[in-house]
Amino acid sequence: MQQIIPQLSYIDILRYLGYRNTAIPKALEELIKSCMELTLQTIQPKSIYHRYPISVLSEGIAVSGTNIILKGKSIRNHLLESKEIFLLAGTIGIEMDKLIRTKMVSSPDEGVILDSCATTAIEMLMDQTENSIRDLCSQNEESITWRFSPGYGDLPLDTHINLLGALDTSRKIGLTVSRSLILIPSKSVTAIIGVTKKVIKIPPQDHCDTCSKNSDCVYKKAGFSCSNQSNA
Amino acid sequence: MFEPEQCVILLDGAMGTELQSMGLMTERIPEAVNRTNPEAVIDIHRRYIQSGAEIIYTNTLGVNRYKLDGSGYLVKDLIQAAVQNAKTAVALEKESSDNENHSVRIALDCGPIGTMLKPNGDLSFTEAYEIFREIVVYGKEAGADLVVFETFTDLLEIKAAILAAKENSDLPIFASMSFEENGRTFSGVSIPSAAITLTALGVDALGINCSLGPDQIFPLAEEMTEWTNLPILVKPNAGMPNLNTGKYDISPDEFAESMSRFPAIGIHLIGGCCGTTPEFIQKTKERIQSCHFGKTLNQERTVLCSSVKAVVVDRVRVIGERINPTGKKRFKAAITNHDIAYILNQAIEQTTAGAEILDVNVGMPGIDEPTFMAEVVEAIQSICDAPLQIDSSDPKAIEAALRIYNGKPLVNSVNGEDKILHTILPLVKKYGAAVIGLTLDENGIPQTAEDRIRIAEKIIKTAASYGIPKQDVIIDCLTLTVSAQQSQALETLQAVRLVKERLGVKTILGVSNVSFGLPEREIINTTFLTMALTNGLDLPIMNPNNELMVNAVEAFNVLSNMDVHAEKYIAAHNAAQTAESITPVSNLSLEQAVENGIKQAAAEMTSELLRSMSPSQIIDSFLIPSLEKVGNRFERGEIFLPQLIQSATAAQASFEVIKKIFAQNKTDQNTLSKGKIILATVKGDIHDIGKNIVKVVLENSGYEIIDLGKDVPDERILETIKNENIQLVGLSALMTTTVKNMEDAIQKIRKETRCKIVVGGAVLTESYALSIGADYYAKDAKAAMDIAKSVLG
Repeated sequence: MQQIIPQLSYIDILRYLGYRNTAIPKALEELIKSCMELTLQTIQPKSIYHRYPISVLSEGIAVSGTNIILKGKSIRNHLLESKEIFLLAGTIGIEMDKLIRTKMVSSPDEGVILDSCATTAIEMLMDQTENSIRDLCSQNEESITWRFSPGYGDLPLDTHINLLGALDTSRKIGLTVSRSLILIPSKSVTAIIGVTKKVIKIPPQDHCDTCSKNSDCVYKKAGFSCSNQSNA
Repeated sequence: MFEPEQCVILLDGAMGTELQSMGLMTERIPEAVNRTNPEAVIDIHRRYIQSGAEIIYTNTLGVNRYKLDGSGYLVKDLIQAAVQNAKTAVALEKESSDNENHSVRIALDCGPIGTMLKPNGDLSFTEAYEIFREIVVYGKEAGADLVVFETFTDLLEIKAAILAAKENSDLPIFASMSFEENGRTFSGVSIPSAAITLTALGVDALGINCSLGPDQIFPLAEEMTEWTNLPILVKPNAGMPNLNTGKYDISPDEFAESMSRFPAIGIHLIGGCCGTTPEFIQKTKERIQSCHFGKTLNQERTVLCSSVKAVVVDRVRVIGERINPTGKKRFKAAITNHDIAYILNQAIEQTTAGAEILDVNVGMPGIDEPTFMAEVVEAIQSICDAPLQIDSSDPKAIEAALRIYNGKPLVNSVNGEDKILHTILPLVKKYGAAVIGLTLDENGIPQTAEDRIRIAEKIIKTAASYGIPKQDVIIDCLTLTVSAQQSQALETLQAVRLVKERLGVKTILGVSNVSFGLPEREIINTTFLTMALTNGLDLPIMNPNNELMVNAVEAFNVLSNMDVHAEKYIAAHNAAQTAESITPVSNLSLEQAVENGIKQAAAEMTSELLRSMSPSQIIDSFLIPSLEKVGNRFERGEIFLPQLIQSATAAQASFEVIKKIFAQNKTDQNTLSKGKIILATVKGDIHDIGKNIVKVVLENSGYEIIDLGKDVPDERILETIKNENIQLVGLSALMTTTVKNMEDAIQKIRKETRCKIVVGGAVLTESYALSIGADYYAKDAKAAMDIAKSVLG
């Protein structure tokens, strides 16, 4: 479903660029602003989600009506309180990949800034999508977990394949996966959200616990967190 | 196979959503139902035939080797079963039907592979071709009457499919793509580009299916009619799908009502896609019986395109000549060193300067031109929207480029020689290109305009005998050097005029040759260009960075009333005024320019310093120390990534000035270098931004970088290490899945060479990097700089 991202978060872009509170020259600030504009003109944000009942089997969590089995301890913990889940997927489109590729050749400084703008855009798109799901659920007095993506913890990356198949993403939002399990367009996310009856408060450091970079995270060293970054 | 001028042909409706409503779409491979429940498939086919469908699609949209992998099903079996089900349905309907004339054709249905082709994905054109070849061969064997490629969003992928069908069968081909409401597919393909390319590739019908309902497709179909004279097919969804519930929003009556508008704009083939049922088709049939059928043929236009941009030769269009090694030492060095980035920069520079088509010539003794030509064309198309002109004297290089070109290109060139005509024109026709005809033959260049026109006539006639229409032949009357043959300039101009008047074709000229051997060539070039334009030149091949010549073209388009309201002229020249007024005057030293990342100042200061210093002094005393200083500031967190990159690109601007001098003096550029480093993103991985950042920083710290690109096979890395005697290789991988490939690559390198290995990438850590056998782990570009220094000095 086509979405609109009205504005990108300047702070997030700086964070993805590894910014650490130093003075930013005026010309660079203008360059970043113009890259933000260009990003908003280029992206085609689209996301899709669907609700499914789940059942716990010995080999993992089965998603009804699909051939998806969610394997591993991390996702089981994540969905402990859930009998139903949402599968969701989003992408900002292939044009942005082409723009970054082009700029990395002709002006790499713009290239790296645009890459961070794009990462910011996909995260904002997924936040918006998560909010739609939250609103939907709150009408039934339900709550939701945070979004958990293939590759987090011990949930295998190849979960992408059946998840994209179930949501028919290649046809509906133009999102595919390569043979090496890389999402294409590259600024894309798939995720699983559990529906719960009560409000679940998960402190932010839980995101880091499931991350393979937890021990030497550059964001953490700089006093930040990368939030829900995935494949970006 | 049909006579679309007289009637609308009815296609069937959806198969997948019908099966879904019967609860038969739960398997991972939905098409398995062809074998597990053939009765259900036959029943759906029969209901479509009963509702009036004259062509039914087999239930094989997703049947291909890639999607079936690991499922236990074989492409051959599912296609055979699906075609058999369609045949059974047709036979049963024939038995029970009163109407003996009711003939139904079976279309082998084939959708996209499900993973993307390069450059967006990792599937090669050849792999895609093989996947489609298998489908077509089995479909033909099983007895399909035609093949339909539908729901494609990538023009190159559907081209691979069409070539596979043409080279392995004689089945008629329908080619249909899915567009979003903005008139683009997910991969950015526009309606004109799709229509022009598919028409040129010689399909039997083309069209639009899926994604949208009939009302949203209507304007897109209408646009498509402007770009082709072939029959057009339209298969919309049952309205707009709600992506999250999967439901479609219009009824059979509304669908039929909306579909009844299509015959009037000349749409010949009508059916339904997702969400439609036999009832939709039946209602549509009833509704269109009384429709007026209309279609006006298009004027024949000369048009070239990439997958996203079409260029109609309806006014003067500049062709950029810079991607050509002839007489350019720096360019030759780039080809020798396999420096694709330099060539890509030339492409970007020219289109930024106003070139709308780019000539691509990489011919040089000692290189494998077919392979390199295809590689360069693919690389340019991955970053540049302008249509390309494939320029080579080697038919193999031309074919290699035509095969993987995404869109409709221009071939440069044929001439009046029979051997060349009969070698190149079949390629032009087969791959759907346009072609330049030079007015010379085995006897050389004729002295008179009349004789040149005779050759032009021969070229146009021979092209027509191969089915290449006149508008796809562009005649070059040949520019001669005025300092050697002064009278020939006027002869060329007269030939241009007569070719246009008498033969009615578009004309092209390489302009700059005219002034060879004279001082201040720009004056002669610009005047000759203006004279040629007045005589009817459509496509000047020239250097678009030459402001005077570009100005002449822009002014001509205004004065000849082609740039209406002088819009383009005003836009270009208002912008130029502003740019001039804001260009800063720099008083920076080279160190300051690099440290502050100011490219232009760095280049200017380098030219200045070269008067009194040697290149190696500049590099050792200024460039490398400055960049090291910047690297240290980056490491301490005083500046962040964009600033590091800006400094590196400023150093790059300085290096570029030095390299130019070296190329001119024929000095080996390797003497500049502190050592060669290979960079590669490992097999299976296509995220290369980290590698590219490291490249920018390292190559401007004095190292020569051999950039093997992304998704690089281990063998290629190993071969390059050996051939170039490399001491340090840098590998990047983004995903946990491709880190495994990195480990494999490291093992192979270890086994056969003593080359040091540095690795980097998002999921790697120092300890992990060492555990998979790397010598070093670089967490960022500065770390890579330090490692290079410790290994190579």
